[in-house]
Amino acid sequence: MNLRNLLINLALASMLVLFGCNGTSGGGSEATGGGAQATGGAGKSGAKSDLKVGIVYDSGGINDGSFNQSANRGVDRAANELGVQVNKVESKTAKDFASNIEGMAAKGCNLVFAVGITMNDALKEVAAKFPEVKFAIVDGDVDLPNVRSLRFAEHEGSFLAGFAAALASKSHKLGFVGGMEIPLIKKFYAGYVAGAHMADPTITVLPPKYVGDWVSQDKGKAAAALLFSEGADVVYHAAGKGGLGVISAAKEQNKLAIGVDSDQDAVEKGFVLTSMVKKVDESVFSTIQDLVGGKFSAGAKVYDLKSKGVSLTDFQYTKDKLPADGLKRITEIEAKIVSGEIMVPSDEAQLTEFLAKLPK
Amino acid sequence: MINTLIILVASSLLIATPYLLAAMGGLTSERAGVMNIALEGKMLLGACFFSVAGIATGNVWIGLLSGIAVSTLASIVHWVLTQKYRADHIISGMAINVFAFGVSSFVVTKMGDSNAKAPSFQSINIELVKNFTWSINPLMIVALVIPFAMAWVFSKTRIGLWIRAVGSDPDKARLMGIRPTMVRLSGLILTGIFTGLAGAILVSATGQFNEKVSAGKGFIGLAALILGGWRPIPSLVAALAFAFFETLQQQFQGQAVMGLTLPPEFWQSLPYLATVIALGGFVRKTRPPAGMGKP
Repeated sequence: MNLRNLLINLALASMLVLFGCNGTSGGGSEATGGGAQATGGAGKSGAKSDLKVGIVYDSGGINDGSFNQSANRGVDRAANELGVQVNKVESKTAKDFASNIEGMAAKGCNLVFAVGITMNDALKEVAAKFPEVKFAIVDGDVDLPNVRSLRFAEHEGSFLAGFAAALASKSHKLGFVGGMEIPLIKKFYAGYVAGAHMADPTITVLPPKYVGDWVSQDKGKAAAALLFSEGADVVYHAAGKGGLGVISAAKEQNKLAIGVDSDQDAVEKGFVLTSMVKKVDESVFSTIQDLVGGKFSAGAKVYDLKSKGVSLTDFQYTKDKLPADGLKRITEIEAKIVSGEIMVPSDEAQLTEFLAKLPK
Repeated sequence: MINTLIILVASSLLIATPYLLAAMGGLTSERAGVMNIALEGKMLLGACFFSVAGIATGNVWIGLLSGIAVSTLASIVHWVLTQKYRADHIISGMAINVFAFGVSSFVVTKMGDSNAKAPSFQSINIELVKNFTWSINPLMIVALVIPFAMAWVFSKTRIGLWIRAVGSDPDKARLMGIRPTMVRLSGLILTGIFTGLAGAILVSATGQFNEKVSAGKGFIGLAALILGGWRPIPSLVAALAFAFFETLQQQFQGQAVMGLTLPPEFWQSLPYLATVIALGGFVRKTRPPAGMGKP
């Protein structure tokens, strides 16, 4: 191998190393870019605040079409309306979580968001080191005097999704496609099954199918096609991007899907019955608002049906799929959950108990 | 029972085509002697530019041609690196994969409207059995024809023989008056076309692109190629079998199979388990092209 070839190989290899480090160094430069953008936004609005907010996204990235993206909308809105300075950083892998959070805190941010339950341990470790900085974690649960845990009652929203699905179903069979079988997704499933039986005690909810990851659209599509072929006519998904395959399958088979996290009703108009929306953006925005107003408090803050932290979309394209009194019945059942008359199960054990108590 | 089987086979085809096309892309370059672990990246680039150009122009043909053009360009860069500059085949392949991921992450952040759908070809819908409409993308039919076309090219045409000659012994091929680098260029251009097509099919499943859409499928395609002993028809069978196990495991999830209800993670490992058993047990000897990686 002559010198020139050696150089080429070295250049390629160093390119790999450089890209490999992207998690921290590349991410860092992006943070500055994001910060600059956000500061520009602040300049436009009249509101002024010299508070600095940092946000660390998990490996899904800002444009995941799910909770990272929703959290991003929240901080962007805060930058525009409240005039805070925002610094953003994406994490390439789980290894970067702690260093990214710490970087934000060390940079002088007054409040640092960690987006996603996967960052729970990293945040716990860093927050203890910076007692004067405020932290907030989306979906997580950290019990420290300077951390607010933003939690969502996904089971309550899923209960309504199941209730609506049962009302729309003609075959009296429903399906569910999840990303992976983890406690968070089982929470979705438990609420969904309970809600379906609330509307129709004789309904069958087929065993859930899991894609195995959060990105495979084609596998999500195949899983949904199997459920539809077994007679289900509404399938709810909690499978991230794999769920887009579920929605596409609903269109192909002329059945219905239910979207999740953000409003997916318009992905295939008329084939998405409704979406169970998790308002991560609201939770992020109101946390910043509390900080600006000097009302920041630590501890768990639950975003549920009552606080409109989870909700169904308004059936804009699918009103005709529901019975005439459908929307009214959904509103009634929602009121019962809000008032505490119905306790929605959030895991398998509670679900079994819930189903046993239902009148047959 | 028969109905379920029909549904499983039909819906596994959608999963099989990207594997199959990646395997064919690997076939044309590896049989010519270029080790190709960049199939994943080339597929991702094809998918990325298929959707970008498709969304921008609203024309599926422009989308398809752009996707194929960009993945072919990546393939030509691969050729320049490995043939002109004698770069290591593994390192240059990895570099292309990393580059592709970087480019598509960047494109995704610039795409804006996340609900925008890339146009796709009108699919053919057949109601095979009750409650199951089989939706066939015309590109899938093209993909299924390619292995047979390649089998013919390799056994009957001059270029096919040249590719095989260069891949098994570049020095002898040179003595026969064949220029190995030029033969490899044609092999890699075919790789670009096939992986570009694979990218288009990946996006067409839903019309939506994201930077993780390839999800390791290029590497599974490479595994199918190795399992098929670097021959087109056996590689086709391997890709189909792998995809069939993918849908079969989904069917088994949550069902009592022979009286047992096993966790989904067990079933999800089924395709990989089947591959390992096939590689270890049934496939006696798969020999890589002798001249792979040689100048």
